[in-house]
Amino acid sequence: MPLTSSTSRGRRLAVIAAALGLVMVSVLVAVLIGPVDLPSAAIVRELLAWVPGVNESGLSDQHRAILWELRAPRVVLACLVGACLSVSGAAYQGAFRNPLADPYLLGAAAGAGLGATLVLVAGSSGPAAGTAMLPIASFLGALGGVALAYGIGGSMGGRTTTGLVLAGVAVASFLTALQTFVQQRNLDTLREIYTWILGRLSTAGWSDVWLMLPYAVVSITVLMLHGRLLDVLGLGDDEAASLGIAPARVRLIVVVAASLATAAAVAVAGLIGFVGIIVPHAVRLVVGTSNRWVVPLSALGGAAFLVLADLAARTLVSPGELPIGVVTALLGAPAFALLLRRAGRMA
Amino acid sequence: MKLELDGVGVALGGRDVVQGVTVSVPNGGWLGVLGPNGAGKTTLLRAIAGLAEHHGRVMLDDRDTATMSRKELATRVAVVAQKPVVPSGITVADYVLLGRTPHISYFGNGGWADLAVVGEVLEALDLADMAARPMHGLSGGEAQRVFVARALAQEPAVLLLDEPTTSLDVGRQQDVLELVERMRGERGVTVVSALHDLSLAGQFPDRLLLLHEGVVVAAGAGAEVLTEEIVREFYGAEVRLVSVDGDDVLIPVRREGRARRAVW
Repeated sequence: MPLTSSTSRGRRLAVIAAALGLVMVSVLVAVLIGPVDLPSAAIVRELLAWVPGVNESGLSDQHRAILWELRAPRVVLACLVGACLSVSGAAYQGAFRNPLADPYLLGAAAGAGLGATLVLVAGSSGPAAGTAMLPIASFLGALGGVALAYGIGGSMGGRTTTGLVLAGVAVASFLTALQTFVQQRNLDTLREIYTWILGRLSTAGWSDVWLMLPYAVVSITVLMLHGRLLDVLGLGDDEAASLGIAPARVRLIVVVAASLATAAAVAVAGLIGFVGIIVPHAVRLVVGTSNRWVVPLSALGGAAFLVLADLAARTLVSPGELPIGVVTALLGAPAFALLLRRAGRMA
Repeated sequence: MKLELDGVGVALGGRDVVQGVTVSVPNGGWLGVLGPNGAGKTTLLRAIAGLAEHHGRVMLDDRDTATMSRKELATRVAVVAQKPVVPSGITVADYVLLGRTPHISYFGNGGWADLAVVGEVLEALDLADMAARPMHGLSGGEAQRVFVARALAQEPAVLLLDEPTTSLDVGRQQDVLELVERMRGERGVTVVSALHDLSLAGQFPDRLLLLHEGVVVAAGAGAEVLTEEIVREFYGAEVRLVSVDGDDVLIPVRREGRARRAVW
């Protein structure tokens, strides 16, 4: 076999194993660190209690409650949100053949924010909408945002990437303005909406996890299954079609799934920026550009990244807490700049 | 695979870009499509590949391609575009592997059989050493070989090449055309290529077809199409037909009187 792809396949599998390890380590560190010191050995035993032969952890009821009711759901939710945002970023970048595409740039997140705000406002004035409506309204908003950006970008002359990004910026600003307007007109829910916008993993409970889980599982699965087809789309629509693919249909499926993932993340965790752009780019520096690997590794990398970002959010200014969106931007923007410099040197 | 076009036409934006093209290429034949810029060469190739909506019929071994699914057609017809889009950061092997797409199921990732085909094609085209190299580091001639490799990895019966020699130096132009000639001999691939360079066009394809404003204005063997009169009329060029080793070769000559220059 003259192909080196068998060795690079081995290397990529090693990277996947390393990423899994990273996720597990960050989860462990995140549940251990907090205002109350938990006994680490007992925690490890408690977490491994399902493995036959592991002894009783001997955790006190109070510690067990802190672990399972406070820290575990928060960490699990951070994993889900991080995975959703990163995978949808990778998917948008592939589908639009634009390295700058991400849930925030394309208006998906802003649309989801508007949808969620409308539900939060309506929820305070009547029983019409419950939390179950939140992901659905976010999803419709996200899809609307992307469709608008794509429509305007397309009419701005071909499907140039610049046109798309500029349209996305315009749509995002417009939807954010609408969202702010709705928010300011409803002072009674102002505080609730505001904390939600800045990202709120802090109030996470298992109900948020259950609310988000089905959307996350479905959308991430769909996107992982489309990794190779995203590579084919990278050849341009004409050549993809000559290889027997229906590019418009593949792109539609991918964009819908990515918007669903974005909406699910925004609905439970508010607006957390930069994850969808920095994680996939970091992954590409390690394993190359094939979406067969970038998409699954973005899920793992995004999960680990957001768990660690959340850890920083709740420990840096302890006993206070930073909004996680602030942490991801503070970490993400410089890291992104460094990545760009490195990529520029390598190219 | 035998390729037949029967009254093929393409209308774009209400304008007929290609009209009434009827031609037959036998299994393993090579048809060269000539014509000045904008004559409809690329559009005709796109119609054959099922990428442009057309009227008339495109038949592969007596089967109308309109009755085939996109995927089915892609297992038979491969296209090398004039300026293929190269995804950033992709390696030669990964790029050629994309040619396996029509043979891989929708959610599949391709198996050892697909890698084996890629390996065999890379070997045949002398690209095995470059498999792990990124595409953007290749020279023009190397890249063109990789584009052909991707098309061959598709294991097509018909290979469509849109001006495969553009932007190559004259040695690399010959390399590519000789490669196509060899593949057609070894693999029995039927070839249709749009060609810009008339002197090369006269030497490689079995048959030529000259398009002008979407209409076939001359067709036949090289000597019938590449005459000084036809080239003057449709290309507005002044050429001389020169016999080289038994082949007629066209060379362009300067149209206006040579300017008086100082003797160096």
